Amino acid sequence: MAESLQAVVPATGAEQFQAGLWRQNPILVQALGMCPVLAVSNTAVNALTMGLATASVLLASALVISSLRRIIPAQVRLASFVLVIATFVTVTDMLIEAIAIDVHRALGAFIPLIVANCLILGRMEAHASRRPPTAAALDALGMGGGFVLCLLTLGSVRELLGNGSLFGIAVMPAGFEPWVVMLLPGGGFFALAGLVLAGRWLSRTPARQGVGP
Amino acid sequence: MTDLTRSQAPSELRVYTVLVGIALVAGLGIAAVHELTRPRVAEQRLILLSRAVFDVLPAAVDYHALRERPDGSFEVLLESTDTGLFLGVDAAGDPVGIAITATGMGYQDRIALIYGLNPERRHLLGLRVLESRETPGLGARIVDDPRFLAAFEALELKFDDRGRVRTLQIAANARPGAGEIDGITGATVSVRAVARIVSSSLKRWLPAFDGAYPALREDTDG
Repeated sequence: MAESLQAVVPATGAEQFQAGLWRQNPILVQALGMCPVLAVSNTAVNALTMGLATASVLLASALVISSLRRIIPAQVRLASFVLVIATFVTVTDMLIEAIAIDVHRALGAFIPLIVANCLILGRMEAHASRRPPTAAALDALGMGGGFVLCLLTLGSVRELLGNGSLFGIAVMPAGFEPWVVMLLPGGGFFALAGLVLAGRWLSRTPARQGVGP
Repeated sequence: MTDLTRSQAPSELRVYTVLVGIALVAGLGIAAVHELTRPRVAEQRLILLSRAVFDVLPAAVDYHALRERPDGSFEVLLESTDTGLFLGVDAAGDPVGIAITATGMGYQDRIALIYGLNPERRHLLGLRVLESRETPGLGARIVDDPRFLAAFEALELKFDDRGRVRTLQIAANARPGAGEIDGITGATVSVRAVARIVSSSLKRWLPAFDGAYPALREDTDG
């Protein structure tokens, strides 16, 4: 997997940033870190917090690992990556508890589980450990941004349809009957399927349409 | 192509130095952030705790922390601290129940909860889970499943013929009047853990409060 991602890593900084946002979007294209995506995207606030927490861990770990890339021996690189990632996850967990304890309770075990998010470890192995800090940071910002955008879209759609509200504020007309299924795990799959479908449809290129006998 | 030193095997010493070095810095960083956030987290937890005390003692308008003295009697504290025992009082200052915190093992980690006990100590008034790391979507439902939590709002306690409280039972089509709780599909282990934690806490505290209640009433009057 590392090799195939490596092969399409773009050259310039702007391209690097955009790749994560759209063309190599971690959720829509790479399908990485799907467990929290499906589990905590039931409300917009949960999705936004989870997305921002993951993105900050990704950015901080990328900066540290990219700076240490000449020091870390290859034999223990994965152990070192996990140590760095776990440290930032623990710090993020404590900060969220201090700032917003209600959201911390709602997200429960999912914040510590960012450690096991394969999106982060994947970016460290495929990118941050091979590039200078600026390039690693741009890549992390792009990937993190793409992750937050997708999670926020999912969370908003699910909260809107499942509860008739957005960020806890009722927005649907009074007669609206909430689709409770959207708040349940099954609704996460439906919303994700819709999002991936929309993503694929929007990224159709004229060239690809023209391919044929 | 790669910046990681793959060309030749590094010495063992170097491998260990790097790993230990990263771990040391990581540990220091975590300790520093923990110290920085601790006062604010403690403050927030106290707010959540006080909300939970009012949830499990619906008739209370105020509460006092209780501390058990070595001789088995109870002391009513005036400052708001977390002793794990709280006496809820109504507007007239009369006791309306006791909120008790309890902890125990859940499916994979500690569960901390609080429950309310009525003054006659014959039934529970409510239950809230304070802390848990049960499986999201399955065991974690003990935290917010409304039907499960509602079962504790008028749960009768059953006693054996020697006056000791019986362990809470989990049953299908449970009757709260018979000391039974309805389970949650997919959260069997966590529900059993909650029943076990509450039962063992009741066995600890019910005898302790047997003679202490009239004295508490006087303490809050005075």
